[in-house]
Amino acid sequence: MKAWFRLLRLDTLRLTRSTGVAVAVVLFLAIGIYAAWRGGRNIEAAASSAVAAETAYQDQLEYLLASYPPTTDAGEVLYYLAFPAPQPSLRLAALARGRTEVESASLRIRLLALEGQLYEHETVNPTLAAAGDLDLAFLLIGLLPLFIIALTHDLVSSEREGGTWNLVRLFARRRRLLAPKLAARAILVGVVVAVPVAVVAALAGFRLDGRAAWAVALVALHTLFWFALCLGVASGRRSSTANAMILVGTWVALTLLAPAALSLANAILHPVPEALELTVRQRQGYHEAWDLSKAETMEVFYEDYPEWSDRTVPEDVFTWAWYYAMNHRGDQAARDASRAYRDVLREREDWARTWSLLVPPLAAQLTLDRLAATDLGAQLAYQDAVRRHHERLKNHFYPLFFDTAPIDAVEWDRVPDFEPAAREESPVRAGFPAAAALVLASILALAAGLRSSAPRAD
Amino acid sequence: MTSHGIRHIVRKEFTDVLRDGRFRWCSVLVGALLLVSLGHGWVQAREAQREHAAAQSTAREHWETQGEKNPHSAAHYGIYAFKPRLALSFVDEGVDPYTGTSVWLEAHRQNDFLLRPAQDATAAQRVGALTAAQVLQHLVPLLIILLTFGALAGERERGTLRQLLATGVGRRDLALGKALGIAGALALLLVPAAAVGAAALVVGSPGPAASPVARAAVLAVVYLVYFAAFVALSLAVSAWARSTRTALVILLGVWVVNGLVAPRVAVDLSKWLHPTPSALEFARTVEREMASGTEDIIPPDRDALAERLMAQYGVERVEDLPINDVGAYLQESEEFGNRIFDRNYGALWDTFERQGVVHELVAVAAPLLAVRALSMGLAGTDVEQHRHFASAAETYRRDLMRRMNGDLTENSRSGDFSYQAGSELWESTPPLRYDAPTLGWVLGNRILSLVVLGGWLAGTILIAARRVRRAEVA
Repeated sequence: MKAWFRLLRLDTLRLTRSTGVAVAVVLFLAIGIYAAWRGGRNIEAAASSAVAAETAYQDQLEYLLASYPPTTDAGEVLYYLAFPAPQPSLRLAALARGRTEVESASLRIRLLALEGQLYEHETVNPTLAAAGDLDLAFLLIGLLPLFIIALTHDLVSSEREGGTWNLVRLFARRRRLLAPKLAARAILVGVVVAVPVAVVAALAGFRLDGRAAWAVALVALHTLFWFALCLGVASGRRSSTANAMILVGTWVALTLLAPAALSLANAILHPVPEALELTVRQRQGYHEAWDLSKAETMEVFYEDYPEWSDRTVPEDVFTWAWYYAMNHRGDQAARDASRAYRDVLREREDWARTWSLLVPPLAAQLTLDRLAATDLGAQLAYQDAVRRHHERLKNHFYPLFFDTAPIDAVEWDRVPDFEPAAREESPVRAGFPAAAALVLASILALAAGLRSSAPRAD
Repeated sequence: MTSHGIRHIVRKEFTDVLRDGRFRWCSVLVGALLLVSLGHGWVQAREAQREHAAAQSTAREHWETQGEKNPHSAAHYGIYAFKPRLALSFVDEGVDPYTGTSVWLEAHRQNDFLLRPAQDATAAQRVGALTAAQVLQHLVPLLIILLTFGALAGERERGTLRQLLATGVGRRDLALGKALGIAGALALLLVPAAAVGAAALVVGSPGPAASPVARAAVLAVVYLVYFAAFVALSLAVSAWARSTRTALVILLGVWVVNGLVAPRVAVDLSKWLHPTPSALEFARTVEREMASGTEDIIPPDRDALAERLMAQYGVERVEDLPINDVGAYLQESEEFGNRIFDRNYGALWDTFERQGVVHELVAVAAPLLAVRALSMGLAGTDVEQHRHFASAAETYRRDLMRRMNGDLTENSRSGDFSYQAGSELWESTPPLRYDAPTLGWVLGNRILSLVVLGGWLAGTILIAARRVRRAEVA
């Protein structure tokens, strides 16, 4: 055992003294710590944008109440007012940013037709969005494998090429020789992973419980998968160069090609039903109402709100109750199209979750996003929460419109607050399939590699 | 040294590559991916173009058959505008998935573009879509590295470099021969892809073309320069490195930095140098300025306008005006809003373009950024051309509003809310006609990228020449 540790020390020293390895470690750590710092800042920015949304609402309300006389119809003032609906992000989002860079998680909702207001996005330069994000997940899932490949592809072949293999083989069994070398590399990779993760956990302030523990476990399992794959390939009799080519080829296939091919297949299998239709229908539904009698518009409105069916509106004058009913008609006209659209997006998400299990890096990436609630599913859940909020606001204010109440009749303290989407999915449910897939893939990769090298055991 | 010698080396390198199973399979794979992505891009672009054309004519039909109504209601009703896909967009979809390609034009507001496919995408797509541009920008350079890293280092390792030079082959000829042999192997997959691309353009161009042939030719040159720079760089490293393994590791490092790290660093750098406001800040600023104006842009005053009009027409009461003062007021509001939009959206677009310049400068460290900018530009899918269309659509919107408000002003009287215009007015408004920018305009935007890419080619050739001259033979 003592000899084993001496070998381990020797290998670790040998590794860290190589200039190439030292440069790679320093570079990787530098990018990792930067990405972690960035993740922490994003969390702060998200928190301050939620505050900003509330401030913007208060400012606008104050301005409107100052500029309109208190006897103004409530409907007229409320036409302009935008209610904040900020979704607090999980602290874990510092690790995996997912879609939050392009999608707004802090919509502002007016009482008008909702459909057109749901798809606002961040004012981000599209060129920047297209380049992708440098979050820790990209680094640990996308780039770390290359670091592992660089360290391990010549595990055996370097000794053989250096002419030392036959010599050392005289003294020990193959497994005993490989173990300390592998352990030395595992320690190095462990440091490179642990430091940025510790930094991001400290900066963003998440503890290793529940979701975070699963996320870290997934990163670890994904790292393990690449170690297994590298060990399998490297223990063959090929040259270092051939090993490097095979491993990099596998990395390209798993990290770049397979995800791209899967999303292509996903888009072909689940075409988005003409998203245009949604907007067109909503607008048609609303605008047509100008040419209908007010009773016809209200009739449709009462279908959804039978509790107000005894409140009629006069036919000959403009009323805000009728105006908002017209807006409701727009949403109603777009309802089927909107539901079909969301259904397809859910199908896409489910399909991606299932098939990604075949592609270890993709499984890890998607699950990290899912645990951090920055994936498409979380975005859809947020939109549903916004829909519910819009509904609550309507229920709160519509009685005022039927009463043609003035704006000073509104009790502002009783306006319902936004209830963010609950993150009730258990981390086990989210994390387990990918974790199991990664373990299985590791075993398979190792077995396949060792098997191919076994017949000519040396 | 005779040209016969070079020809011999070229032929040997070429057949070596073709005989090596690994390279053969890599090349077949990359070639197949290129063809598939080109084909898929083309089908998709055609499909999108057809859908847009159909939706555009439906929207126009809705507009023309909207029946009798007040012109201002029609202005609120509005109309859709679709950004036409240029012929080459099937090669590089550029920013289209992130910008959307259609916009609703209506009274009082400048809308955002809708239909951003990125919105419908699972996170898997953020890794990269399978487009011809992605294959050309990432996979072909990787293939070049795999073909080239052993070109000189391998000969040295096997001890054949000394023998070769002993036969009287010049070092320069040797390197040139190797480069040409590799180029020949690459041509086997690039020429068919180019032919397919060209055929796709001829058979059924997916969109209106602003000099598509010239754009395609420049695009081909841009990619060839990029590939040539990679061949030269790989040869230089192969000549310099002590072993094939070192050469491979260094070149893969270059590839990772160029393709995966530098673009993301450029994003952060440009955001840090030229920050953009958040969606909330931006929306609030526009709202605030629309409500109360700015120091120089004063919101229109309806009473003052009525006074002015009454003085102009020499009448005492608004009702006696020969025109409708509401129409005039709506037009003044529209013009006020336009100045606020120009101020805010203009500043935002300008920031985007300044961020783009940062990207082009980072290309000094990573040629991919220069190639990407040029590729999107030539395919007509970069931010500048999106802005070009967005401003054409906005100009059209303003013209449409002017027509509606003008009709209301001239054909009805103040206080008359029953006035309705008919299909004559709707039909008399011309549809949106959009001319995509010319090749000169596109290249004018991209001079920096052209210079940087040219610099990369010249630089890598110089370094390769130097390294080959000084390469150790054993």
